[in-house]
Amino acid sequence: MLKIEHLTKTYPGGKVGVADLSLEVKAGEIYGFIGHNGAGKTTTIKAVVGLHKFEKGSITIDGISVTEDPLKAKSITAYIPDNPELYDNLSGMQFLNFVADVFRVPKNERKARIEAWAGDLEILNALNNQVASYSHGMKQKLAIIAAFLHEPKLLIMDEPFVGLDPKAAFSVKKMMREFCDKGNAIFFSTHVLEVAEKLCDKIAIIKDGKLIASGTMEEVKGDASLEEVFLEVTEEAK
Amino acid sequence: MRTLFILLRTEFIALVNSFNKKGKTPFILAAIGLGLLGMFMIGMFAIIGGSTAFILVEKGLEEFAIYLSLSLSMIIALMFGVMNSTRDARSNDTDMLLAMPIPKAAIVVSKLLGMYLLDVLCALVMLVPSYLIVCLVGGHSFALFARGMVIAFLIPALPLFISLLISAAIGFLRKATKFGQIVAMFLSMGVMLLYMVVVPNISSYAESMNITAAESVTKMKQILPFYWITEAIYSGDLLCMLLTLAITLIPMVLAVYIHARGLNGVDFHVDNSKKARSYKTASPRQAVIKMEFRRYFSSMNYIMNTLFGTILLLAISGFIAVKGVGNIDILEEITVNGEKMDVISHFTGLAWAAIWGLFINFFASITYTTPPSVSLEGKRIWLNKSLPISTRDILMSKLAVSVMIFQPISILCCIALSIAARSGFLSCLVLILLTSLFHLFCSMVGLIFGLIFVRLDWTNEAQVIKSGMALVLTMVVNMILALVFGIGLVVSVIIGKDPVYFAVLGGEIVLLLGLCAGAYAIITHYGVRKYESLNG
Repeated sequence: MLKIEHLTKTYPGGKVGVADLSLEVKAGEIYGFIGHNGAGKTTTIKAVVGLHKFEKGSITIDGISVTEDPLKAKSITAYIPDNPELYDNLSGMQFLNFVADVFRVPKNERKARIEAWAGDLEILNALNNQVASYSHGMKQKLAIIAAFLHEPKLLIMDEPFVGLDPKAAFSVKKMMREFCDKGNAIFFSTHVLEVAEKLCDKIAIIKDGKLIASGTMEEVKGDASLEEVFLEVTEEAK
Repeated sequence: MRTLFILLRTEFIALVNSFNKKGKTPFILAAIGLGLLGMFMIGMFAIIGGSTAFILVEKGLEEFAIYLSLSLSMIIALMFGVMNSTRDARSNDTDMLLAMPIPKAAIVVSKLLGMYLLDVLCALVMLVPSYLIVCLVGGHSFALFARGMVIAFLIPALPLFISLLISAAIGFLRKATKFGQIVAMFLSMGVMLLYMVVVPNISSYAESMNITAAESVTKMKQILPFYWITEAIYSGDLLCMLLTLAITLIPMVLAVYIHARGLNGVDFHVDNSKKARSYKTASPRQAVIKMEFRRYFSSMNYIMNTLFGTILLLAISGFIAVKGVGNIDILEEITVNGEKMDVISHFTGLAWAAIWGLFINFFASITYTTPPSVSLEGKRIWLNKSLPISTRDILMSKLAVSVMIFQPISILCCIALSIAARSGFLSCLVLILLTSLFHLFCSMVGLIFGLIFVRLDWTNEAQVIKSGMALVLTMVVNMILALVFGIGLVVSVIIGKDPVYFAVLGGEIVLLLGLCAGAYAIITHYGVRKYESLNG
């Protein structure tokens, strides 16, 4: 579903964001992406969703190149950033309608989906309020609903659990699992290793822009805990 | 004091850093443009203040000269204050600052200082020429000048207080009712109209005054606080000086208090949970344009800085259409061979297209929503960039808002004015073409500058709406464009021959078509690349 090959991104001034990174997320997989702050997780994610240009390598989503046909690639992808800055002056409903319009979600489907997910995440009654009045967690929930709204094939999430209450985090994990069980894929970054350990089918560890470990959960961690492995491999890579 | 100094230093560093970006040359050019505009404004106010004072001093009304300059500076400061009051008192950095061990007073003072300094500048620009003329021409001692200078630093507290009071009221209305935006808009426009009526006519008012010094005192006493301040400056009367201190320092303290209350935010809970949710659909392109419109109409700052010209155009055109072209003062004064001219029969057909073109193009040149439109996306730019919307469509939606706001009104005015002047269908069509293309080009210029001088790291949207480099340069360039295109139109009216009208109007339309095509190419090539390289 998502194929990243030899991705290299250098920032102005020469700082290497990501160096020769390759990985593949297959349909039905939840793929966790972990690493220290500044390791290159967000840079990789932003390159995948078309926010960052990159000088080397290729990224394809379901066989569509994000550089050659960005609109087609974006039309089957959804992205939730780490800090969802949304349009403050819109109501939650207006924002969801905007996203649904852009992805051409028919009226009946958008109504059913919004009511179901907003109900699950307990923000249905707040949808007519302005986004400016939302807490960080509510904005995160709104961004999650917007991301699921057009039923993308690939969901990219950057720290999706930050700011969510325990019940919402549980609902989101359930939504993620159900989403992938339908043959879709999720690629997400997280600092919460326990979540990654329980939720992910595959995992990749990045340090200083380089991939230092990847594979199925069993391949990467064996009998140890993910936390121990993470600390070990990131120390070794120094 | 130490924390206040740190805050002021940080704000200054942030301001300097906003100029210190990659590709400095355009920013330096924009800074020069801003400087020139500032100097022009200062010069204009100083000339108005100085000439008015001179007229009154020659009539022996020295005290009234100070009173009038004082009133003018108050009106100008109030205008800036009301414009400022339509924005939220909170910046993005407010919560962070409030959480730090910084006294709230220091935060408030650092936030208010910019507004206060602007008002002090206004007061000085208006009052210093008056003081000098009263002292030098009126033969008064420089003690008057010294008192006046001290008081010039105090009087901005009054408009500052009023504007913060209005800001608090608008903040309440905005959260509690739907009408806050509308009230704010009409209030701001009212103050701007007051400014536009009073300031340009102040010299003629002074000229027409035929009263004695004693009568002028009676007149001044109609607004007692202004009279006390004037007396404090003019005669140094102790009681008036004390009263001046009271009516300036108390509002100053209250202003700080009101702003401090605004920093914590006032939450008026509105229950929308029972309201029916709308699931209305639109095409992706319509959705993007709708989004731009919502952004536009949700920002008072944005509306105020762009809609005023359009409303003024509508109002003046409506006035002309109702009153009749032959009864407009400025046209009535045109004489041919010493006799008043019948403008309706003298100017025919295309001449009116040139005359009205000149008039409408002026308003077109000051009506643009595009310069801050890219910067306003700020940190939310990830949304448009991650959605399957082409960059071209995003940029065109910004242009569409500008066109859809101005052009329907402009076309309506073209038709009304053409009917009023009985200029005929061809003239009306030419007028619509000329003004529409001119406005489209002005909007495109704004969008190009908006892309060149994009600033996504603002903490308050007013930073890009009111004082962004893109806005300043667009204003300057569009004014020059209106002047250049206006010269051609004026020349054609002076010559007054049909072939010349055809040549000038046709030439300008063809030139504008070419310019629009060029600007479109820049937007769809350079603009698209630039937008795609942006990161919030």
